[in-house]
Amino acid sequence: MIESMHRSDLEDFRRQCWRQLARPVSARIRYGFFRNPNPVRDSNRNLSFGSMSEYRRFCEQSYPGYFGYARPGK
Amino acid sequence: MTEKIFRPEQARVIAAAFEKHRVEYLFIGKGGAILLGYPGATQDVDLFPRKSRENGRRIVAALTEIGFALSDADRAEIVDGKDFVQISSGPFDVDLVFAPDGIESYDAAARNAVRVENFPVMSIADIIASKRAAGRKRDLAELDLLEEFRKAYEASEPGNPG
Repeated sequence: MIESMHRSDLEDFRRQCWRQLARPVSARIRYGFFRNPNPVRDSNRNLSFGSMSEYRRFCEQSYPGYFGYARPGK
Repeated sequence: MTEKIFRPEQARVIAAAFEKHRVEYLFIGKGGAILLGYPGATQDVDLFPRKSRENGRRIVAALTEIGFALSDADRAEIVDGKDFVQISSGPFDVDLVFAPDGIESYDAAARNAVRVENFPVMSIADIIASKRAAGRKRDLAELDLLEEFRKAYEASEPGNPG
């Protein structure tokens, strides 16, 4: 990703890092956590998995591709 | 069913309840990085608890106290420490990741962890290692930015040359 960023974008990101590090934790939380509609979570069902690979398979099968849960090539 | 009312401060609600019930755990993933100061956003609260039956019982007590509706089966899976427990039946969503990718052990991660206010947070190096090991597109897309953040974070730490 870095290779595809313009130098000015990368410098801007670095400045964002420094600004965010200077902010109090309350501001990091306020602007860092959000909630969007989610095709799995919105069912309000609790789920458990015996292994992380089992969880990965579930995500790949249950989420649209644009959520990015798949590994490259899948 | 508990009604979901999203509040960004949910991380504080979890931290306070887990502290009260003496749960051993770390904030991990992008949520952990955000607590450290990463300029990103996420809807996930991912927690890495120590896998033990006693710690599992403490988690159940803490979650129940803050309004999570847990069935007997949910409680058993948390106490038994399934590798991944996804809880969507509460006032907000929480993922309990008992075996995060790329992390050798809870003890090793806890040794490297940092405390931000009352949030125990996995080190930025371990957060990056775990995302790299997970290898999902959403993780890989962010790794370079997390590495850039790591440079700024480590330079900002007292005692580190800037």
